[in-house]
Parts: sequence; structure tokens; C-alpha cells
Amino acid sequence: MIENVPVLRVVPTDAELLAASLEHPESFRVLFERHYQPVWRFLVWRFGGAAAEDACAETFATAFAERGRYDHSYADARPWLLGIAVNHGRRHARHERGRLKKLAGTVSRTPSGPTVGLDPRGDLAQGLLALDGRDREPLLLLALADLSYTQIAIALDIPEGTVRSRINRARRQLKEAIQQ
Amino acid sequence: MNEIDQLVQELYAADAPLTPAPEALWASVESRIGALAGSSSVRRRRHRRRFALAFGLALAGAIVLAFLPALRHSPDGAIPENASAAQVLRTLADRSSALPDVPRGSFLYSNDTRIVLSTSSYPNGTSVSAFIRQHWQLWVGRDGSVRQRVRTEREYVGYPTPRARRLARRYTKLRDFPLEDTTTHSLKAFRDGFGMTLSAMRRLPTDPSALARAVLANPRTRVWYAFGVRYNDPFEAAIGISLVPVRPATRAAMLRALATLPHVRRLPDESVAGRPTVAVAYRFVVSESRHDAYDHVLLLDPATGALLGSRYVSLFPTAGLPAGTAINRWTYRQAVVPTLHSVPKGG
Repeated sequence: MIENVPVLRVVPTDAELLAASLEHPESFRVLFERHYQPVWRFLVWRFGGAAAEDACAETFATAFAERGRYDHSYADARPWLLGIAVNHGRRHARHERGRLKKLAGTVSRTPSGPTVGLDPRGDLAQGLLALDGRDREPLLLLALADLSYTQIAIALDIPEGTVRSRINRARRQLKEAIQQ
Repeated sequence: MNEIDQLVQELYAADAPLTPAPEALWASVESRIGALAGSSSVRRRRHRRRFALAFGLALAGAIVLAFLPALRHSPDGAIPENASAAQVLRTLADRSSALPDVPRGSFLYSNDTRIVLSTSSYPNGTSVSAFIRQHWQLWVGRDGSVRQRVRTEREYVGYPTPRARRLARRYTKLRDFPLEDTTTHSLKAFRDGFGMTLSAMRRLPTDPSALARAVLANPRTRVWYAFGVRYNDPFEAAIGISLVPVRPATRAAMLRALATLPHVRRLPDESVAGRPTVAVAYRFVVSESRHDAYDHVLLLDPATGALLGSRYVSLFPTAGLPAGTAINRWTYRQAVVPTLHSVPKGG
């Protein structure tokens, strides 16, 4: 009979790291290393380099400050982090709108080279600008952060059914926008 | 992820900067965790960074036309038909080095009309190709100021195949694209557009080897992006430099540097807008996995070395067009003008 044998976890879960970071703040660095790339990518794709740098740092700083309130039943903290990123991203929304408006009015900003596209990016950008923010956020978490419906529901703290209906509505509107 | 999600991802991901090193990002996090967040000095730094980014984006990724020197005619002289591409480029370098510098207070004006093949992909899997025509004007001053004006014609100007014509009419429409007309005096915007500042370009070496090292080996001036595809094309680097009022000796050295490149060859002479040209081509591969390869052809004035035309020839079937077809074409004019709003006769 084996008793009192400690269970060795070579790779701690995010929840364990966050719990550990309450007493050992340096553990948070491991969580950062694990998730900074998807968070950065989600933010930089939407808001550009400088804004993303701010928003990414703010996201992890908030996560550090709020780590005591993390629901430890979720082993993976990525949806939680991206939910924080979405909130910080709102402060930079004008960068995203500016980028989309720029795309909406151009054929191609790449003036030379062998490949020139007139693809539906302009119409797509216009469609994204026209989307209700409540529909756009779940879609972007799916398309840019590769979250599942369940994870998006956790990130945005809304029911999974609501996530599905919002994403379907956003997809339908975007499809109409580029097929007009 | 369905097709719409994929399109959204491609839209957002285009031209995204690389992920920074984790140490740099962590330093920003640490500064906030260390109770610095929200201080007025941090806010001021953020505002400065945001302002710099917005200003840079005004021109970034937008300024590349395609020219070589065309300031005036120099003595004519036939180039033997059996001369190699390297010999042609060296001869034109000799002829172009006699051209005058752009005077202080003046602007190098460049104008081109381009016909380019545009391919669109739609969520139902349909791919539509058609040719569009754009008119570009660029003014670059000796003081580093830049004005760019772009007009896109509303109608397609051609289709690669009859099927493409039918699909284009069914699926796509050209909107009234707004006339783009932007002016900047920002050093950073200039560097973003051309790869280096004007003063750095004016200081470029006139030794071809040193120039090649400074320009052709510089990723900022040599590597280009088009719809997420990254490709190396030293002809484009040369073209980028030629848009700027660099010293005439630098322009000449650029032609000599091109003469040293492998994969450059001479094509039969032809004419552009009624003017005779000599043609040289550079062969390059965009993506080995996709087997995209092109000949970038420059059509040069045999009297001055000025670029009068260029084209990309796809070496693989593209959009229903057979291999060896020109998919994009440019025609060029260049002149020295006194102001950012001057246009020489003829446009």
C-alpha cells in the first residue's frame, strides 16, 4: 500500500501556478511565459504594436492583481487572461477602428510586388466596423485567439449558447457584407 | 474555424509585427506590478508612443512606386544587342551618373500608371481575378517631406479569362475608392516608407559593392511584403531608392550593383509608350512551398538609364493565365518640380 507519497506534477496547471503565486509571486512569471504569445497576438492583431504592448502588460498586471479571485476549477487560465485582454483592449478601440477604416477604403496598401489582391478585405473591414461590439468580441476570440465556444463563454462571462448565437449572427452579417 | 473566421484572421494578421522578446514584455508587466501603473509619467510615455505609431502608420507600407532616374535625356548611344545584362547595366550607370542632382528646395516627382492582376477569394470558395488600374504620384523633397497621391479607376480594365470576366461581374464590384492624398514631414514615416532616412540615403556609398552591402543586404530596404507573402527582390530595393532624391552617383552605383547580381539576364529590346528600351530581368522565388516564382523585368531608357516600364512575369500558371504571362505592368515618368503640389506638363 502506498501512502503519503506526494504526487509530483512536473508541469503545474495554470490554476496551481496562480495559487502558488499568492505566496511566491515569482511563479506568476511562469504563467506569463506560458501565455504571453497568444495574448500578445490577439492584441497586436487588433490594435497594433504600441497599443498592444501597453494592453498586454496591463492584462498581465491585472491578472497578477486579481489572481486571488481566480476560479481554480479552471485549470487553463488562457480564457481568463484573454477576457482581461478584451477589457483592456476597449481602451484601444480607436486604434482598431482606425485600422479597419483604413482597410475599408483601400484596394491594396502594397503598391508593388508580384501579388496584388483586390480581395474582399475592404468589404470585410466595413462589415466588422458595422458589427455590434457584443457580436464582434466572441467572433474575434474565436478567429484570432482560437478559443472554443466554451472558452469564449468563460472569457466573456456569458452563457455558451449566447456565444454561439452571437458568433453565428456576426458570421452571417460579415458574409452578407462581402457578398453584396 | 469557418471561411469567414479565416478571412477575419487574415485581415487582422496582415502586416502584424513580430512578437517581442518575453523579457521586454515582462519588463513592462513588472513595471506595472511595481505600482508604477497609472503614474503621470507612464501615461505621458504611452501617449508619446501612441502618437509616434499613428504618425508612422500614415505612410507605412504604402510608399513603393517603381522608378529609376529620368531627369533628362543624355547623349544617345545604341547598346549592342549581344551585350549582357551586366554590360547593359554598367553602360547605363555611366550614362546616368552625368545626370544632375535634385537641387535643395526642389522635389523629385514620380508618376506611374499600373495595371495589376487582383485576385479575390470568397467564402464559398470562388476565386475571382481581374485587372485594375491605379495612378500613383509621389513627391519627395530634399528636405525629406513626402506627398503621395493614389487614384484607383472604378472599372476593371481586363480579365485573364472569359470565365474570370463572368465571375467578376457576378461576385465583385469596384467601389469608388477615395482619392488618397497624404503629406508627411516625419523622419520616422520616411524611414518606414523607404527603409532609411533621406540623409542616410544621401550618404549611401557610391562604391557598388559597399552600396550593395548597405542596401541589398538591409532587410528594411530589400524585403517586401505583399498580402502576407514575404519575398526578396533586389530590383525593388533599387526602385525604392530611385524614388528618392539621392545623389546621381548613388543612382549610378545602384545600377552597377544590380549588374553584379546572379539571376539577372537581358531580354530582347522593346518599346514603352513609343520609346525604345532595353530590358533586364531578375528571377526570384516567392515561396518554394507554393512554387511561386517571377521574373521582375525593368525596361530602361538606353540613353539615360531611366526606368520607363516594368512588369512581373509569373513563371507558373496564375489565375488561368499560362506560365510566362505578365501579370502586373507599370509605366513611369519622373521630373524635378519646385513644390509639393507642382505637376509637370503631361501629369
